[in-house]
Amino acid sequence: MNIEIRNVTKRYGKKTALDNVSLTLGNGIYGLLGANGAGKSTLLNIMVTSLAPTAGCVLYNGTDIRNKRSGYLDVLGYMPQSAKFYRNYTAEEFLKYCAALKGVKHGLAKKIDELLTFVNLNDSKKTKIGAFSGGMLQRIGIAQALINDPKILILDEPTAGLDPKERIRFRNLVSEISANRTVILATHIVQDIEYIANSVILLHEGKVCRNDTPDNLCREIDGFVWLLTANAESVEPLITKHRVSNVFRDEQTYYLRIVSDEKHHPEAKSVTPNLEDVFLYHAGEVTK
Amino acid sequence: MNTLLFHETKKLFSKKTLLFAVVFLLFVNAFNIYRSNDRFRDPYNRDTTEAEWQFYETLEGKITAEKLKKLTDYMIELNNAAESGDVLPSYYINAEGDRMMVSRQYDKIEKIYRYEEKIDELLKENERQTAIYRQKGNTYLVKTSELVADVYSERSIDSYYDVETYATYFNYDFSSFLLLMLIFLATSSLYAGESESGMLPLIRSTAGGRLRLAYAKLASAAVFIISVCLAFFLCDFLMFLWCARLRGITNPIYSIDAFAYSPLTVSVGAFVLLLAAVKLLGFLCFGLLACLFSSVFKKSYMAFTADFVMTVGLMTMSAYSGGFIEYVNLINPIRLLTGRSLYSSFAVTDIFGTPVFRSTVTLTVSAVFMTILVAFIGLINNPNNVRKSHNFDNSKISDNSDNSVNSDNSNHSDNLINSDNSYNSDITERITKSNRLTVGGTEANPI
Repeated sequence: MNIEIRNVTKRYGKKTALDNVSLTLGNGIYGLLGANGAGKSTLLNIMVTSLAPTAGCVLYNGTDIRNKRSGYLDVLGYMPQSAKFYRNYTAEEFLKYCAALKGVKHGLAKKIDELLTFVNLNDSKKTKIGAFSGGMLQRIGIAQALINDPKILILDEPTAGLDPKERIRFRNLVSEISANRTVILATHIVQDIEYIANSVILLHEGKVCRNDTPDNLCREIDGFVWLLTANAESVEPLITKHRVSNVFRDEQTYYLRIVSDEKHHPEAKSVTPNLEDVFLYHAGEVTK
Repeated sequence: MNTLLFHETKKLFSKKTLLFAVVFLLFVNAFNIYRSNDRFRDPYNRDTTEAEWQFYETLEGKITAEKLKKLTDYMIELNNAAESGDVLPSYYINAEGDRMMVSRQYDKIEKIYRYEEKIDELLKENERQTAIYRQKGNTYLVKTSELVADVYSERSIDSYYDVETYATYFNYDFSSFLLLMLIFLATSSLYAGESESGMLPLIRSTAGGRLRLAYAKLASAAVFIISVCLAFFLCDFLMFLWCARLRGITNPIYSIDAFAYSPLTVSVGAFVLLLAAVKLLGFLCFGLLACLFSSVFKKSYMAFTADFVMTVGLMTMSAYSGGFIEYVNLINPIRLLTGRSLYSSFAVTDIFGTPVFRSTVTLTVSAVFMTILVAFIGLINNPNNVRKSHNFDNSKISDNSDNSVNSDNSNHSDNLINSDNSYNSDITERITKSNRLTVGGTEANPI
């Protein structure tokens, strides 16, 4: 199974949301990382055929995904960003509806029970979606995406609005279902993909600026991340001047994690980069 | 498709606000019919109507010589009493009231009695005109006259019923207005609602979420429209039956004054059904237009506003006739909602030299228009047909794999960024440059 995004460009009037994006995706978890407006959702909308590219195409096993014969939609599972679903539907009814949309008929009742158990919503089977918490909504979102046992799973900002506990739970769920599947997880929250993604695709202003394993990406910027101590007065000017990935306060001392090509301060110490630093290095802007 | 239709219909009918609106407006409609009826307005009207009704019941049914004699005798008696000043036992409040009542009934019966004569005169005149048209070689008018002869021959009314109450029933349009509001309320969110709930991308990412769903939604809208229409039609009929005491369902439609020259020869009862069917077609047409707006607009309230503006526009348009606007009005669903006017008189349209009833033309054109609307809604809701890529054709896609970013996990070691992206070359340069830097100091604990 192979997905090829070939020279995809999407323009909205004069604004270019995606600029000549090319990628080849196999099995595994792909973290699609980018700031808000980087083009993540546009790329995903093109990948789920909800949007047509201005130029280029997406191929599934060599056939354009917009061609019915590709059978792409039959193997696709998609969880859209912050969907509210249908408030009047129970979890079970909603999954039945999604199954109808995807043409799933055989063994549906069993499949629904399995999925609800998998996402830990079995007790809420008959509960109306309107009464669901944010975490439950995300879990029912995952369940609907899996109803057709998809080979390709696309998750758009799946952890938005979740508390830390729910986010960990969600990450574990995604890890579990990633075997023999292509999972594309779009987010602007680095921690969501730091430990589970096999590969990170970094989008910036509509372009793919990096695509590699998290380790390789961190290794690339080794020596560009600095830790600097500062006092209360100097923190604000430093934040304004540099790309600061984190600020930590210990009593009266502030520790600033600065991402920079050069050592700006004699007291700055080089530290091991993490994915957040990588993101900031490529996509972050200094607020001058 | 059936499962989708079931779910879409369920979605529509599970909207509590919509169901509440249906029930509430049914009550409003029933109350409006009750309130507007003379019989219930005030005690005076109630008494006088009841008196007239009692007298009417002695006359209704088959027109017989005995009934006519009774009516004439009573009229003469009342006239004589009025001249001599005698007091007679009356049905009504006074003898003068009785005289007027009898006179009214007499006029109605006389009109029915003379209907056949009137039609005979019309047919004779038509025959005379046909001869003239034939002489002048106007084949279209000859055909029209022949159609007149065919339609109006052998007409007679042999029973007297106060069918004029049906005219009031046929002219009742308030329920149509309420139905339109309900239809707009239900359909404005049919497609736009998916966009509002964030479900649209999910729906479009499924094989069944395109044409099949678009048509399932249309079918569910049709189920809703048919259901509420039936409920309102039944409410109208039962309320008029009770309040206005509809009588003479078996009488021919032309026994009603306003339909005296109707091209139809069906019974009043059959016309009630026909009118309901035509109205239903009109509501379905409005439903389709509303679905179209719901597909076009992303917000339900915008679709609802567009529905309302469209209705006002169509109502204004339907008030005009003649010239170009008459042709446009052929697809105006308001004409279907006021379907009575399609059948109240003999109106034909010249279709390639053949006179065709205006009602037939309107219904046919409306059916074609609705089919086009259905196809168009399918087209709009199929993402493969809209927002099409400029160079979507596979054959036009150049094979520039050199330019691609290969991210297959199996070969991560050499997978990076081969595209001619200036940003990437800049980064590579920065990385290379930085490798030459030696940053001293021990590594601090990462935060």
